Amino acid sequence: MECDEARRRLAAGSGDSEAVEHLEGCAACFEALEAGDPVVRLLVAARPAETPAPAGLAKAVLGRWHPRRMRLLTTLTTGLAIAAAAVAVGIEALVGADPSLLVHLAPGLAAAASSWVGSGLIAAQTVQSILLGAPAVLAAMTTVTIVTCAVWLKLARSLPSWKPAQ
Amino acid sequence: MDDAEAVALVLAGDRSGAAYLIEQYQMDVYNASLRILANPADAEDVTQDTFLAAFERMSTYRPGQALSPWLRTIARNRAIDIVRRRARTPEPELSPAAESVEKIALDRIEAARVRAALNRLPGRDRALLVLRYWEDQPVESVAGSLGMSEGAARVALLRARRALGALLVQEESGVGV
Repeated sequence: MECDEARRRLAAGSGDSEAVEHLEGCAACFEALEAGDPVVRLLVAARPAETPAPAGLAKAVLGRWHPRRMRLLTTLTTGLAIAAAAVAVGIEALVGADPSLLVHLAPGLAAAASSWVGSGLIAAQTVQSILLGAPAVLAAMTTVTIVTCAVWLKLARSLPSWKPAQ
Repeated sequence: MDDAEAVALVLAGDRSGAAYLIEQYQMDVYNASLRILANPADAEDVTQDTFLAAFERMSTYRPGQALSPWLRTIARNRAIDIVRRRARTPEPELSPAAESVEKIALDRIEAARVRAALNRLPGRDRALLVLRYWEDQPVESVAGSLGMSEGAARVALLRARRALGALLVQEESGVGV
């Protein structure tokens, strides 16, 4: 179908498939019909004026935004907390199962790390012997450790409110 | 502060940069959303999501690129997603046009009545007309936003204009009001 015929039919309000098929493939016919359509003029004239954004929108966005840097900090903190808990549980289990192992572990660890690690483990042996004799104390210390880690994590995730730049 | 500095701050995770960008462009983004959705609450949600998405994608922003069109594009796409999710009606055939709008005194059709008639259209038809005639998007962009071919968008725009014209004729003629 030629453009003239398609435009004539469509401008007259026809919906025949042949004219429609022509329009699908012809940008020029679309633009010609659009230019002559009074509805387009009405629409353009009816464009609404700009509306101010709602109050508090900036605060809402900033409250939901967690920058990658802070997410990385949270991830690292969480990982360290889990690792520390795993090491603590592992040492408790290992030393608890066979206290004599500590005697072998301490020199090796002190050789691999700084001397304070070995000293700490020796101190841990003393504490361990006390705790195994007092399970309630052990449970309380475990609870305190878990709560401390949870508070630490929450503090790391809660971010200070910032004032918008002036 | 300027846009480039604010973008650098956002990339560094500094909230002052984000606050600056929101302050500068929230009205543009909100209005782009509101025109498509015609619902202030939905438009506010889209505006918030737009800024959050922009901050996540800030590394893809090219220096020197105008921020407003980029943000408006994100907003439009999100608003269109909502329109598409809500539009579940099948495509109607291209029906013959109603009585010509030209036969009605155009000066009797106030802008508010045109907007009211526009709001009565199905979501997708409304989105088509808003994108093309209020957001000044080329047909290719309108088609891409709504997930259709350019040819299909031409037909859909013609259909939407006819539907709006029919509503205006009904109202002015006192039929179906």
